Amino acid sequence: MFTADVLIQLTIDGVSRGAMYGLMGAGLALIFGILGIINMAHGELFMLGAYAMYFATMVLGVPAPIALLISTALMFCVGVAMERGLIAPLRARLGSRWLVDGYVLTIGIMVVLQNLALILFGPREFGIAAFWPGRQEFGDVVISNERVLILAGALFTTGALALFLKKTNLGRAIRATAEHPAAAQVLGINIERIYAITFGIGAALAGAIGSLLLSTYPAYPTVGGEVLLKAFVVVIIGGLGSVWGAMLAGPLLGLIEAYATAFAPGGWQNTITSLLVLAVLVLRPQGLFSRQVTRP
Amino acid sequence: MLLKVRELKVGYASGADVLRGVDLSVGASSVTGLIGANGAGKSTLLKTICGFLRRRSGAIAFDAADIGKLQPSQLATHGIAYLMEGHSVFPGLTVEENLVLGTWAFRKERARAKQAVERAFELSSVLRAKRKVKAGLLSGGQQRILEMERLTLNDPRLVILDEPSLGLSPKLVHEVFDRIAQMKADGAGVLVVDQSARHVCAASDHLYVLRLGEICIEGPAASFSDRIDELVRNFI
Repeated sequence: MFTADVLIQLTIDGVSRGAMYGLMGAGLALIFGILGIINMAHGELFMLGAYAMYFATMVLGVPAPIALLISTALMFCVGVAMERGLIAPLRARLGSRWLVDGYVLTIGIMVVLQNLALILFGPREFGIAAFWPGRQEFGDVVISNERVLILAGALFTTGALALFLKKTNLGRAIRATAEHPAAAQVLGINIERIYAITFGIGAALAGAIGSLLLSTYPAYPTVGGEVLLKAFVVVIIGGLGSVWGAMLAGPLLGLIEAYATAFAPGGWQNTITSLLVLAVLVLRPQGLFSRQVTRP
Repeated sequence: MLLKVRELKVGYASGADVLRGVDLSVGASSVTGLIGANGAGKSTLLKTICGFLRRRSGAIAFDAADIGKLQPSQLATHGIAYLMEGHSVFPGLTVEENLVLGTWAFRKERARAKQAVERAFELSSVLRAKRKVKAGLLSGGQQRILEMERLTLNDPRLVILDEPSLGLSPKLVHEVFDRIAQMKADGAGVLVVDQSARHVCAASDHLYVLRLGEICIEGPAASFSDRIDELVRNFI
């Protein structure tokens, strides 16, 4: 039977993995909230981050924490370049009719990046066993160091993102642009810059998570697909466009997955997730955690 | 003149001009009123001055410099404040966050930005009481007060107001027009469009009536005060 220590392990497992889904979803929600497009290439940003982490640590021998920073910074630049080079010109040319085109564009970026990775690195999986081998024992509860690392990384990144959005001028400007772009402009906020920075932040989050999860998800060309699906689930549960909702829905999804794996026969894990998504879409389409602010 | 609009033509669809050659001026330390029927082109004129629409032809000069190619995000650094049609608070941000964003144009001058926000709280007890409340939870009137305070945080030289009294209670309408008088006393030029022709006429130094994309009447507001009803009947 399942004892307390197993439950604790499952919980830690679920929360740490789920917090990562939450951050992927938060990036997706941030980009959707600001630019209005669903970034279908979000999984590929995760994939690029994973490759960057692998090559930095295993090929160049850079220590993991520094490699993580490099990979995150690199993906921020990739995100900004993608927005400036591909998405912004499309928006400028099409005006208000660009949203569908923007969506299709990100599907194109997804396909191109997948195939580029296939050509450059081949179909092989580049993974590692663990950045921090070994384990911690707390009485009967045994937790691998890697889990501790992932949980710490997820909590740190979630906290940093929340603080950034809440407490900094730039973070406030990003939220303001999401709510009322014209009013933000009138106050002097250059929303073109906000678009680029937001896409960069979303890409940096995806890259950082791809790097941190290298031991769980090795780098290969289509690794992004699975992760993107999780991110979508998180975004639907949390409420489309709600960054906070996604950050809360992530751990919830992680817990459901962890418990389902342990308590239900194989295959039920994805079924339960899908049922939850259906239930949310039918019963509470605004998402479980979105506190809609309505005008009186 | 602070703002000078000359022969301005603007249209949405090709061929059909909404503004068909508008001339209008706004001086410093004065209030200029603009009234007209729905669809006359009042909002279009304001949007064009503020860079949300592009002119077909004509000139828009602010402080004798051409601002026809101005981006909306450059308004604040030029010292132009614009109250757009409808609601413009950020509903999910707190009252304080809304005000802090009003100092965006000079956010690097931290002390000044902080002081401007604190002064707004000192001036308005309503906002002070709702400091940490999300702006979307305020009543329509409270939101308007927040918008008006946010508008003047960086001491604009030109304030452009699109329907500031729309949907407000009579008491709040007075408050809004008192605030406009205060802006004028502080040296700003104010251009105000409003449904309430009587209030606009009373608050203005100079009045324009826009009809079908053209200025049909203009003059010192005082000269209209006794025949404002006739004006409203004939043109609005």
